[in-house]
Amino acid sequence: MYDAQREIRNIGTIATKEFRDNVGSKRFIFIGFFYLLFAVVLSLVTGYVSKDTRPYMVLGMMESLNLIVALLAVIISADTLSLEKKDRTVYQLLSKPVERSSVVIGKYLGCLAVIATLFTACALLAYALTAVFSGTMPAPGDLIPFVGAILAENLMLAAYIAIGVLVSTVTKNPFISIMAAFLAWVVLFMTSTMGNIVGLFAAQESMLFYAGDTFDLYPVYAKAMIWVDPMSHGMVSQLLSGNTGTAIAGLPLWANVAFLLGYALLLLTAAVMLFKNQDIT
Amino acid sequence: MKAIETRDLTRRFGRIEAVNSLDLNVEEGVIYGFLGPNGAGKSTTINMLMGFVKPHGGTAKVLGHDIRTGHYEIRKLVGYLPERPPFYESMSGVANAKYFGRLIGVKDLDARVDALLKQVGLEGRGQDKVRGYSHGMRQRLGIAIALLGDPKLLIMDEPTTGLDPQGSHDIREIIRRLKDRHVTVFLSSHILHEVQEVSDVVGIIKGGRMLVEQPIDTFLKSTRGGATTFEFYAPGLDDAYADIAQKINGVESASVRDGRLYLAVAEPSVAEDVNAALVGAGLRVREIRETMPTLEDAFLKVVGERKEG
Repeated sequence: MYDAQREIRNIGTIATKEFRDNVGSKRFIFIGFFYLLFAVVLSLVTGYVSKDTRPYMVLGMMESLNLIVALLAVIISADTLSLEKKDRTVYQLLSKPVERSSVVIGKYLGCLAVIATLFTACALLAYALTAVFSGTMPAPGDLIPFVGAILAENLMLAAYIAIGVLVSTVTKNPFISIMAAFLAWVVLFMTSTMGNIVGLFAAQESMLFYAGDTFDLYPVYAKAMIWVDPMSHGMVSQLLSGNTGTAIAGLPLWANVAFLLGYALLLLTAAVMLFKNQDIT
Repeated sequence: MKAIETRDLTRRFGRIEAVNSLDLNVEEGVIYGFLGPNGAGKSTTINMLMGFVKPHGGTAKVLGHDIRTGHYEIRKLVGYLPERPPFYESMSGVANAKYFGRLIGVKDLDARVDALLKQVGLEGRGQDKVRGYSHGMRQRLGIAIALLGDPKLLIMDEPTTGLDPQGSHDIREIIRRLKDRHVTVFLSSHILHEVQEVSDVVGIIKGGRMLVEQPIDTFLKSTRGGATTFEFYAPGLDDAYADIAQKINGVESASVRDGRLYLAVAEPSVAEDVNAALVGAGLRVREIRETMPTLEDAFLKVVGERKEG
């Protein structure tokens, strides 16, 4: 009989181990170091160049580093299950009273915790440094846009981690799973970039006489190409501007939140179903 | 209730029937030696029992729970030692044991881990990283982890492969102690003399089908045919004494090898007549022993792999 309390504890145990393993991994330290370095540089730029902006605006700059942190998200999660299969530790794990769904969810949450910790720590540091460099001290009004932007960014990363976990579920070889996840990251980026180019070409004649968001003029297939990439739904600028009615990827804030939540949940559900029905041989 | 019971259990991989209508009966409290040549379907059977792969046909129950629907319950009750037990290499033996112990839900985990590591002879090495462990230490750690949940059934896949004599002996001792505690042990192994030493019952599969499932004594007796075999030892034994024995009524065969006389007789009482004849011929008989065929002999006979000559 399914024991929910026990499974929640199991998810916590697996997530904690996943978090510890990843924080100590070379790839996390390597990519994390560069991300931290870029965050410091952006703080300097934001602080010195835009002296009269609020320090939390550095998060808008940090959004330009989404590619790096999204790459780290897919790479860290891509071998979370395939490594267990390759090292055969999956036999030890699955011989214990733990549901396969808990294994997938625990690993997902562990990876998410790693990336969220990195991003949040870097964002806090960048915020503090920007405040120092710009001479604009933090104010109580900063809290909502700052926390909102961090949550939005983590939601976007949650979708990338779901991609990595799904890839990890279907493969046995960690090298192949990391390469496949990297390829997925490239394909998503290329698809959304192509979607923007194709959309602009298709809409260029109408743009001259259109005062609204040019995205509205894109054909549906170009919009779909953009929407398929979680990064297109980055809501940081929406939140920092304080105008949540502004459209990102043609969608209001709530729709982007719903899209990313659905994206992550759909992929995670697919990973759970695949792993539950998989023969471990 | 049986510890393991399968009926017509079947699993195919493509066109190959790895397990084919397998009937398996493991009574509670016994040590069951599960034997078969390579590719016989032993690992696939264990993988189905543990829920790693799904059966394509038949039924199976482990400690009364159906393997299709009761995996969660089964894993609470079963300890499993995989072949070449895998661990998280960068973690210590203790950390590995505690991680799996948490998943099992072991109470008083620190004390339990310490006690089990001591029981398997790993005390003092538990804090070392597993990547530095020898094969024997890994097997010991694997057994400690398999026993963490105080299982009613222990499934062991090749537990002594690659171990030195001391390591093999220690693991056989652990298995015997488990039997004393009425734990059922399902032992898949290629090392037949070890299975013979510890098992109560053997099941031999080939081509995914059960060939024999019997108490080990019954099985060994059945494979030697109608004859009873004896071994005589006396200083100065040679072929002449074999000829004397051969002439006695009821002796089916007699031969001397390595200074010992080997007899196959129709009835055990014939051995007394042989002894009297040998003593009468001036031989000082020092030892008479009824011999059983080894499990290896019996196994090879059953699976039809004995090479002639």
